[in-house]
Amino acid sequence: MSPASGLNLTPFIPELVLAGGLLVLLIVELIARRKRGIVTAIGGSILLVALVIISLAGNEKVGAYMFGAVVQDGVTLYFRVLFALATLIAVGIMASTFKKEGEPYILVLASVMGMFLLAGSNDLVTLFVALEMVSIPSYVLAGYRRHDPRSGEAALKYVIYGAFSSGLMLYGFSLLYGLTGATGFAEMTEGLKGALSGSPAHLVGIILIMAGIGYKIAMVPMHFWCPDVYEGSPTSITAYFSVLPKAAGFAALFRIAPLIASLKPFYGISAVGLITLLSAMTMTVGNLGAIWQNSLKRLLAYSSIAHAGYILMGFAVIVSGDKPELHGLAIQAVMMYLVVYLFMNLGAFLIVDLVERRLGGDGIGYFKGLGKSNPLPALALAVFLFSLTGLPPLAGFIGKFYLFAAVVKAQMWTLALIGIANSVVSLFYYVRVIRDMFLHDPTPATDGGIGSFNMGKLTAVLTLVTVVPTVVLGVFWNTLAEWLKLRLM
Amino acid sequence: MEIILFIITALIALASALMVITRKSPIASVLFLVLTFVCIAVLYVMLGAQFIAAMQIIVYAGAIMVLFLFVLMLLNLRGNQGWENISPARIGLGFAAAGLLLLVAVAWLKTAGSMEVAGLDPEMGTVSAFGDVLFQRFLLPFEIASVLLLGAIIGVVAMIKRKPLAELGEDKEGKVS
Repeated sequence: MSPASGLNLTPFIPELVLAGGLLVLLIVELIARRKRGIVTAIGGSILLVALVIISLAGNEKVGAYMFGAVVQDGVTLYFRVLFALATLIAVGIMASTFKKEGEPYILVLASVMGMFLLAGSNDLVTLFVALEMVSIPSYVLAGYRRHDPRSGEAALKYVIYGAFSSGLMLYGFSLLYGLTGATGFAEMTEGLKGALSGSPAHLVGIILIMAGIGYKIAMVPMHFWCPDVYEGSPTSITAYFSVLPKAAGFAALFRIAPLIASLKPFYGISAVGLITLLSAMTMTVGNLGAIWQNSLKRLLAYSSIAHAGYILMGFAVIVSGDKPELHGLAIQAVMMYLVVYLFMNLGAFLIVDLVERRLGGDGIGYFKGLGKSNPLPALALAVFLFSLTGLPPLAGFIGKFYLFAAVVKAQMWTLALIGIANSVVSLFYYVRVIRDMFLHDPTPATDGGIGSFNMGKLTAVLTLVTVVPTVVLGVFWNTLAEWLKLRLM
Repeated sequence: MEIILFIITALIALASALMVITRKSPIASVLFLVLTFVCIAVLYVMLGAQFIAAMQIIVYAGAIMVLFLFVLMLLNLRGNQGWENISPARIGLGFAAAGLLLLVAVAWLKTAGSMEVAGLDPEMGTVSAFGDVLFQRFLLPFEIASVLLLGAIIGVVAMIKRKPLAELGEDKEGKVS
């Protein structure tokens, strides 16, 4: 057991603040009678801002604490800030939809609590409890529009896939536990280094765990729920789904990575080969699937699958693990990409949600001629979509650049080529939306004769909050890169 | 002696599991499921996992099955969904999947003898050993589970609460503003 065991609560302050704030919010929500939603959203936002500040202030890296159940290192700090920041924007997006009820915000914060714990998990048990804490509120959120059968379908699919993949993951956990007799990641990695590595139980255990985490990040072949859930859930909730539980899945993958890396080749299946294959499949299926979509929500769902594939490229380098400096580079690239992805993807969903609220739908038809009737939202969406493609000088390019740099330095040529081919394919469907927005004239058939609409103050501010980093990080990325590097030291 | 007990319990567990999926009446299925759980609890005791065995009886065979029975009786399901509603292709796929599983299981058992597994403390399954671990090593996940339950309770309340279709009203407001 690690030396820093025992009841040391100091590094745990962000989680304690979050849990306390959650209880306070629950009471505030009951007292505020009519303006429940607004009050809870504001309260939640204040709590999240406080969390960003506390997380940034908690710079000390203490290692494992609380009997080794959790660990505080640079990655924990980074993910805490990322989760709090992304949730802050997501709560802002939700505030336009949920004005009369406070429960969605409380559910989101409960699942953020799980994410915080996940970022620092150092043990299979903590990891599993934290993952379920992320998932269970999400199931409710998916089905929040109870009167809409599509929302019910989304929730049901989410629950059933979620329970199934949790079961697979637990089976994987039990196999690795059976091999090592430990649940702490450090002890398990140590135990798996010897003769056990590369045994069939080890391989099957890793594959099953990847299935469980793959469900969270919408990785092929565990991605089938993703387009349906994204389509059926309320759009502002989809915005939240597309970034936060996914980033949480990657946080879990960070923690599991040493266990995967310890896998010795078994009948030619190595850890790197496994992740490379999953990454290539995920981005290809995501991008090819997106081409045929006519609903923007479904299109962005497939695009988010593709982006999970890109991020997995970084993990392929992380688990290759023979050169430490390459390792650091890949972790930095993944962390960088998640930050960039947060802004551009939340921004894209923000505009889709706006158009859906004003014009009544998210079909590609509603976006035809948007550039002429409502130039500002259309321009913002164009920026987000170009950034998602990875075109310079936007942030998406920098994110992809770091990932590809790591892959190329690790000399994984095939993976790099597949990634580049996929980026080219993705250009096609993103640009199709942009072309429809700017090269078509708006007609009553597409926008229901509404024409120009008011963005609303909140949406305007949120658009600014997401557009500015998407553009600025594309030019001045160095500060972020340096900050991330410091977290890794 | 022990092996005889194991074989008898395992056979009853398997047979009742088979009954669970072949009975037409859902109530009968649930009752056979209880029998399966009890048999599995016996197997746990034989492995020395007393605490897990007790939990198996109290939580699964007790609480969860009662819940199942309540739901079934409230929904008043009639067992009219028989085999005839399932297409032959599905049955074929089911058998194919079962065959693959058998293949994997056989391969697994053949290599199992040569595999080293971690030696575990024989006292591990006792209540006191379990309590020691739960309230020291796993104190944090145990306590945090309370927040998980709180989230789940809020979720359930949010789902069942009677309320007007708030979202629709706001769409209209949005268009006017």
